[in-house]
Amino acid sequence: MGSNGIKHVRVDERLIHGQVATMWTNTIKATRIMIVDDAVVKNDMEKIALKTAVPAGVKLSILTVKGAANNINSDKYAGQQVFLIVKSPQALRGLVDAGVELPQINVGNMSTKAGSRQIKKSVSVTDENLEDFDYLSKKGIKITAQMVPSEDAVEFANLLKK
Amino acid sequence: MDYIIAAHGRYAQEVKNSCQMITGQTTNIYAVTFTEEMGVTDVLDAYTAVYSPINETAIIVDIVGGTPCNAAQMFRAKHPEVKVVSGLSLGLIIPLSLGESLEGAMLGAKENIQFVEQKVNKTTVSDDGEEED
Repeated sequence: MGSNGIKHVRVDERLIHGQVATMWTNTIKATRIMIVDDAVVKNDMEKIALKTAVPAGVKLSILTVKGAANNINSDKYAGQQVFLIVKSPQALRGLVDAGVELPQINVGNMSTKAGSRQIKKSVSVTDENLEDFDYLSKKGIKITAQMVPSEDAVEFANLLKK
Repeated sequence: MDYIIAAHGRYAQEVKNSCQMITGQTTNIYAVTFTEEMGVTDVLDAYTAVYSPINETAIIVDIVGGTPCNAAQMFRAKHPEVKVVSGLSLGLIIPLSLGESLEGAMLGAKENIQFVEQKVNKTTVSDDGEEED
């Protein structure tokens, strides 16, 4: 895959939490966790929680879609092992539209909301989410759903057929 | 290595459940529940029921001097090779379920008791307002 440093991409509304800090970061051997979310960048409280949750020895970036795309596209993370986490596929759509190459997308946790339907334990999607996933899939990006590393990854599209 | 975890009430079972929420299915953790109507010999029997002599085993209890701990001491009289540790917590069980050594996990669990705000300052962070390193 590309040399932009992005090793793993995860959609997880809880961002950095137990499963991510304890399991995924080790499995991926991430050297940097990158949160891409326009709202989080402006939210000091949420940023403090992220700074507390990031595992020791792992660098943390909290970036807007625009800022992340600029940094990634200027090869700032080449040679690193970046674990990119977003709350929803919308941010990923923004990155892809800005020319960022994503290796693959894994869907972890998306909570139940008004108008959403549950497609898997811990994954609920709205019509807007589905449209974004569809857009990303049509760009040729493989999308899977896997909560923890010990669980098997399933094709995201297969969950929608049920 | 196998770990029998035991505590007052359903705490041990729920520590196991909480651990699995993070790590996925565990294979080496056996929870023993100690309820009001049980005596120390009931707890001892519960240890015997889940103990497998083939595997190296430690019993991890909640507090020193409680019935789960006392029963573990009695169990040790028959099985002196079994280690008994107190201070059951999620921070202790997660690394053990992932294969960390008992000594390493105990050290980590002790460090896990901390003032959380002191940790924030040590973290390297960069966002759109700051330079990245």
